[in-house]
Amino acid sequence: MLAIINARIMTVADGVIESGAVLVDDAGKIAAVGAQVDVPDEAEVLDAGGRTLTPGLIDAFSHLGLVNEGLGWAGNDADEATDPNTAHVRAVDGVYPFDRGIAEARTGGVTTVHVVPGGSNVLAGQALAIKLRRAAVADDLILRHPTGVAASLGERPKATYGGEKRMPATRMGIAAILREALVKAQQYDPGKERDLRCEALLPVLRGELPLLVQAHRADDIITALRIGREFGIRITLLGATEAHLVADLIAEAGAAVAAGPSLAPRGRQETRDVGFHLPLTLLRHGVPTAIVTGHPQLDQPYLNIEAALAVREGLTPDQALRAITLTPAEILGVADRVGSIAVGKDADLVLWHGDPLELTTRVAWTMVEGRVVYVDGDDGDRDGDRRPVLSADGDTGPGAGGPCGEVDRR
Amino acid sequence: MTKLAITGATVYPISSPPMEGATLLVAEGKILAVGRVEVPSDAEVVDARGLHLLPGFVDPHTHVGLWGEGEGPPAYDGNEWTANATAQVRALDAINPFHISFEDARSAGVTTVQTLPGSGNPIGGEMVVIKTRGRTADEMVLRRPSGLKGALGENPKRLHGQNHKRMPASRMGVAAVIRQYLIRAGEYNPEKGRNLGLELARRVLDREIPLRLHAHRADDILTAVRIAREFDIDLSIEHCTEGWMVADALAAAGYPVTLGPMLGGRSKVETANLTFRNPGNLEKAGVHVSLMTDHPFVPIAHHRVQGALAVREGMSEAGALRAMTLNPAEMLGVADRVGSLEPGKDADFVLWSDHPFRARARVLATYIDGRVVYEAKS
Repeated sequence: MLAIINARIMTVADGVIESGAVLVDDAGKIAAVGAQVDVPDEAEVLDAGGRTLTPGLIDAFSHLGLVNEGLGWAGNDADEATDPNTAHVRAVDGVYPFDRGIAEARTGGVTTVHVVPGGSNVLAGQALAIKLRRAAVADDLILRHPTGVAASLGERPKATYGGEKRMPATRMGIAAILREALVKAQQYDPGKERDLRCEALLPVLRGELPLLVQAHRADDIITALRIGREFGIRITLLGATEAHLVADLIAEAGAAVAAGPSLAPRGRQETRDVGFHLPLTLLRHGVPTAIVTGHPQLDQPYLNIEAALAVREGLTPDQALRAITLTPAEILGVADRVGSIAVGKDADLVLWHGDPLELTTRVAWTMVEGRVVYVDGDDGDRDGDRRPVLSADGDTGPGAGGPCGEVDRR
Repeated sequence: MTKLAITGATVYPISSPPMEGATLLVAEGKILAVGRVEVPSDAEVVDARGLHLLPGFVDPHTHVGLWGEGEGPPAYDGNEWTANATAQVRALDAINPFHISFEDARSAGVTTVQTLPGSGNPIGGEMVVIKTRGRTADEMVLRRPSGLKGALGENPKRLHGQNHKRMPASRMGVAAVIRQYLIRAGEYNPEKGRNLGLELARRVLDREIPLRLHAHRADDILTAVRIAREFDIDLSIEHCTEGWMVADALAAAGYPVTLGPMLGGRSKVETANLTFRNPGNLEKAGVHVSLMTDHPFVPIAHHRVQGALAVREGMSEAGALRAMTLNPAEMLGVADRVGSLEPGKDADFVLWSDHPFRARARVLATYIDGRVVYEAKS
């Protein structure tokens, strides 16, 4: 048993506890949370020193592990840009657990990431949600696989294939390819020759998984909703730069949006209207909205910075924190495990030296399933688990509070 | 003479410590006085109590006005990639004063930028320092030329060697192209026929302007230093991503560095060791540090966010502010005009709702030459 005491706890689902404790059991689950928690004698105690504790942050749209940091072409496995329909490829086969981006993500308090194939193909492949555990094998990072089938509309597929004089060269062509793939999957007979593309789409047609559509221009977003209606499938929008122009229609269709990143260059024509008006407008219309990095578009560790800037543009701090914790957990279908500090959920926790929605606030430590995976000053290294040692004056890490012992809770 | 007095703000002159409840007095586009100043009876007064008053930011490495952002190829004028040495091209001729990036700059409190050709060519072209307001590029100019742009590392290798099968295809080739060009400039005789590129490079050799070299990797950074020493020229090191790995050598070399962009990931091999600890580490080593956005690669609207993150990762707050104001002004050779709030300097200043490194701080008004160029909607 592990007890985190003397913390200001932002539970997300159930308000703020100004001074309280969290108990973590040996399975890495939250056993108790509250202002008055009985700490068992045998529990190992982590004194938070009055600092702020939040759930681990969750990014609902990222290419983490697929686009390896600093490896250029050799380390870029996000886009199987050889055919407009690659519904059969799986992001899990491209996730590199030793990508330095994963270690660095923990330095920003990120513990769960939705890894989505890139946007070159109309049907890009199967996405998954990973936990940023310390692991050498991609399978050991899995939280949920698959989370849906990734699709992409607009400029990216046009640029990838139209330039080579192949279909699709237009938005009409993109929609046609998507429709044909869904029709083919509807008519698929597994008794005959197996077709992995069709098989990937079956749970989408059954309504068990969403189609995860990367779309930016308002008309592309509407095309996604149109095809969703035609086939009776669930649509989750990723990126969605112009979603604010059709927010009411997105709300009506019941689609969720992994919106952004808003802290990004204008880039392409379809993303020219990038900005923090996006999450603000979507939330005003009641659309379930997550704030995302689209890593590596914005580096994975700066998820809280995005949320902080969204507050400047009008979100309440509660809305902003929810948009990087519980809402993305709901969008990914993993809210039973993560996204808030509640009994029974995984002990994915972050301790912050100050306000998590300030630009200059550092993470004191990051915990996944009861194990500390990062301590301030660690440089995100991956050599064993660290026990955070916090001195009274607020400094932390190896230099500040003495030697770091091993903590192994599993 | 119309006078303008901004009163009651927390003022950050940069060249001296911050002052609470101070006054900035402006006339004819210039700063008259800063501090505990008697407000003249004929001055127009702006009550800025509770606000923060800083000099306009100076972003020393941008492509504001010439890169294009989502307009497609017709608007992209960043790299004249048709040859490996193009010193004859001038950023000035590609600046579109009506480009949205100037609005971005003004609304983010950036009043001076250096705008420049891209890093595709070992010898890229002429750079220019401009104010972020005007109808013609010419009237925006603060200093021209402000440097000769060059590039080491991956970009010239890829663009020329890989894409066009011409020199340079290696780091050796990149350095050779730059050396050869500087040697030609030394031998250049205008009486035998003018050559606009060599004319500009000659000004580098005469130390009228620096060579400003794109260099990310530590070895590229030190190649820049080697070339500058060989030719006894002034140098600034642009990007300097692995500077923290050779901080001592950089400090000993004494050349200024311009750091960034730092928010956009590590798409290239040469940016593998990108870290926001770089500014703080180089500050501690005694290197002359400026911060850049490289707009549009980090949107200039978020210049302050990079400053705040540099502070989060170890740079002093005063050092970070200086790296966004007075240091780049010095590095660009325009510190007599901009970069701090001092009598005699241009009245380029910004009223903030809070310290710019606080998440919710907003620019309320931006002034260039004493005139409002941006005002927040209330």
